[in-house]
Amino acid sequence: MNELINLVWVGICTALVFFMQAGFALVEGGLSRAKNSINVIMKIYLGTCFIGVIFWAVGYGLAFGPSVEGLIGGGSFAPQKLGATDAVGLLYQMMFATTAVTIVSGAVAERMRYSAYLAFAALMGLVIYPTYAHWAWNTGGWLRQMGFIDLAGDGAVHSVGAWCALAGLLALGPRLGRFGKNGEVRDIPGHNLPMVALGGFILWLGWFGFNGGSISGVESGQMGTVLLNTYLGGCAGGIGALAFMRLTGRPVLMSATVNGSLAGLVALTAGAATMNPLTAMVTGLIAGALATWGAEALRARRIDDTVDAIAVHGVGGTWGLLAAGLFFEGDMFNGSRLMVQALGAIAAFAWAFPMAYACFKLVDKLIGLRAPTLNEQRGLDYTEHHEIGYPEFQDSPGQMHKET
Amino acid sequence: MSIQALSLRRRAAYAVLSPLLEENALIDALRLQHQSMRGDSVSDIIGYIDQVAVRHNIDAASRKKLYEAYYKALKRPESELPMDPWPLMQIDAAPTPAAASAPAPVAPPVVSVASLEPVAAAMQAAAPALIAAASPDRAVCAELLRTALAEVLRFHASALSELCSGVLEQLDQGGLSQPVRKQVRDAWAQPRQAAWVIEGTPAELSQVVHQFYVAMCEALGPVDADQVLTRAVRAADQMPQARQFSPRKLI
Repeated sequence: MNELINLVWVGICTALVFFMQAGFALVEGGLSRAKNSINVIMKIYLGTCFIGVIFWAVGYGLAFGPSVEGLIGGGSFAPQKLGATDAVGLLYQMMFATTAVTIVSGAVAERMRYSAYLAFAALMGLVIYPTYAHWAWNTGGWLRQMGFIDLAGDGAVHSVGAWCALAGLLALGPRLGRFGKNGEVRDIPGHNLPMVALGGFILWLGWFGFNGGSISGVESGQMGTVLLNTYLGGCAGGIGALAFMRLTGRPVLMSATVNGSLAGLVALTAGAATMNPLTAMVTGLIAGALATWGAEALRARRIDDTVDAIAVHGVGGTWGLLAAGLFFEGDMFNGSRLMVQALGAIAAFAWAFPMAYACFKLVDKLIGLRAPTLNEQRGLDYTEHHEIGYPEFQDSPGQMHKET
Repeated sequence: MSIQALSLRRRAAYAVLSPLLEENALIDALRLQHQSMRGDSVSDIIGYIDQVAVRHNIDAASRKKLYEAYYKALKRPESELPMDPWPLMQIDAAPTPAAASAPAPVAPPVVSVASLEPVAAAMQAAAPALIAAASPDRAVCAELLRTALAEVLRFHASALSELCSGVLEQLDQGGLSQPVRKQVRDAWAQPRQAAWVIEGTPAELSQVVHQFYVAMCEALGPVDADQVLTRAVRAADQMPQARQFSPRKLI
């Protein structure tokens, strides 16, 4: 009976994590300019399709197949005959892989070729994500064997996604005119902040599946704590962002507040099952403040992250990994556990960043990474997809065809 | 400034100046008001009356009376003011781009060259003949570039040199022919006086507009660049030539 309940619960959580793609689409689409919104959403949509196929065929085997020296999986490729539990488990893990890749799409929005993004997404889903997932989650993975705590992918999903995004941003460069010649940062506001807020709420909802489905079983008694800690992390993240903005005299921005709460959720992804509610709140609070600070720090270094994904998933994620070691319930501030967590965080960067950078460079050489400036002028919606999001307010291709 | 407020200002001026000035002088004074008076404050009134007095030899005593009279006229109920003299002002007037303030139906939010006075008006005066004589694609392109440039000059004047250098840096990188590059370079040497009629193919004109846009992005930022370009396209869309060649083909 317990097995059946667990199966249903993981199935529900799978649907919740899948629904997070809608949240990402709203956040990333809303934070992009109207002329690029369809492009961003299409990247998420077709990225989801690609990763689904790739992860089933190869990624799952590399991540969860029999471990080869703790480094990589070597079996269970393109599985055909699976029991109900294994099938749902695969599907659940597939959602995580998709989420990791989607993190990149928002960061590189508004200047990357669509085909180049899909090529990179395939490479990331094929190699970068499954390898680290193997280290962190496979029972034979070297990090897992060291006692690395990563409940639902703080390192495997969020940190890896963020460091891949950073590599992409360095390979791509900033959007046209984002930074002035004297180093000033030009704001490029998103076209629809209500979309961003709705997306934030949907992501928050999805996080119940993200963390809730990663417990060892409903009977373990962890579910309530995990769900409560997850929720509190999101709350505290938003408050942390608010506190940072208020205390430093900055305007309290909605986009930064949403990102703050998302950073709080990211930070709870590692240790939601091993923290108490108070330490969960402290973790989320610090993550929210750090992400808000991190977003500005990156901009000051002329790194143009359209949706502040690196601050949320990279800065928030790294802090979350450390916090999971610091605030381990019943054994707080254990130095050796903290060292393992730090090693996991470093491994995420050391693996994902150079690999992703190499992949981006490879894609650049083969098909070209950056959209031409003319496409930036016209908007990637029209130039890449021949569709626009808001025909009533934009000069539509149909109008142009009629005139020719 | 609403159309109604402009009309009231003209009617008040007509009321107080008509006893003192002959018809030609009166029309001149009304046109002067239309061109130079920017508000209804005391300083605006004094400034305007002083200009009229200098141009039409009004003595100091009458001038002082006019300050008060015009101020009071502006406060009078509409029913006590004469008819709007705008039709009189149109007689014998050369075709000017003053339609934006004429008592016509309010246009959609389009920034035309005419509305970007005084810089744009000066630019407009410099080259209408050249534009009129140009083929539709070149005329439309010229209007688009001139409108965009006029807006930059008005609202982002300090960015002009960066804009200019940004365009010139790109000029040799694109596929523009040598004559087109020379024309663009010449235009940028004197951007305010240039007619911006570029003798190029539509593809080359599109490339010129794109280089202008990229330079605007770098000089003003992408948000302002998008807004300036959008408004310039809408302004160019108002030209009769736009029926034969849409400015959208240039972007």
